[in-house]
Amino acid sequence: MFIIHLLIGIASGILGAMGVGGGSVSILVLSGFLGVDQKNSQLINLFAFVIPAVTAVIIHSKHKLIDKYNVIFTIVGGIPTAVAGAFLAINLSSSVLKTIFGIFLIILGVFEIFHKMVYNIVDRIKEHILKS
Amino acid sequence: MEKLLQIAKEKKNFIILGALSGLINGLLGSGGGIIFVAGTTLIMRTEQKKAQASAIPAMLAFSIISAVLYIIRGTPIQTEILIPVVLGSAAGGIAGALLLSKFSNNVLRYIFAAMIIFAGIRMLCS
Repeated sequence: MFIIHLLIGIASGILGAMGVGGGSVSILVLSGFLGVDQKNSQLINLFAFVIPAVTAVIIHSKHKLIDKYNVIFTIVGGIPTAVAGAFLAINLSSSVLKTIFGIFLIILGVFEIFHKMVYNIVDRIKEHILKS
Repeated sequence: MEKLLQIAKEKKNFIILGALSGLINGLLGSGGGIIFVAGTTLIMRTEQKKAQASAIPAMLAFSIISAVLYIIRGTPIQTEILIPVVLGSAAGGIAGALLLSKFSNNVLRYIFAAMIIFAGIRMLCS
């Protein structure tokens, strides 16, 4: 099992750093396929994110890809809701969380496939608003 | 003070996106980054690479806060799973960050999409 868990970590690390949603991978394999409790899987993923995130922040800030002010305002906006989200997760049962997570994954997958179409639609709506 | 309000007004999109991504990240233990990247590239038209890079420090902050709360409120830490996953993602994360500029991620995107839709359906059915 150690090797399998290690491989899950490697896959989610690579995908995460490439920006295709690596975080979801470890949760979906652990909870969806290996029978680990949903809440425990989520906690494991939160932990697993720390080291690759710190590494990525160092690499990306060297390349000047991180806009500090935008990040600060994002964090300010998100701290209260991150606390609220965590409390909600703690108080919900794992089976309810699993259902919410499943719905989230399906929406995400559909968005990933049709993202170009979504961008076009948003463009058109913007044009429409600008014209009127 | 007035200047501070002015800046907050300019950055309100980021505050709203932060609030949304923080909520999802806390509730589902992941996914906040995707919301942030989708939002900034769709609405603010931020370059994909910059959006991804800026998502990481914000999600790092949310993940630490959420993880601490999960633990305080008694979610068990399964170290036998936690240790290999953490080691693997540390290695994979470095590899991925170095590979980021060298590969087109389009093929990866479709494989990933198919996989999560399948997993999502599986999770709803179990």
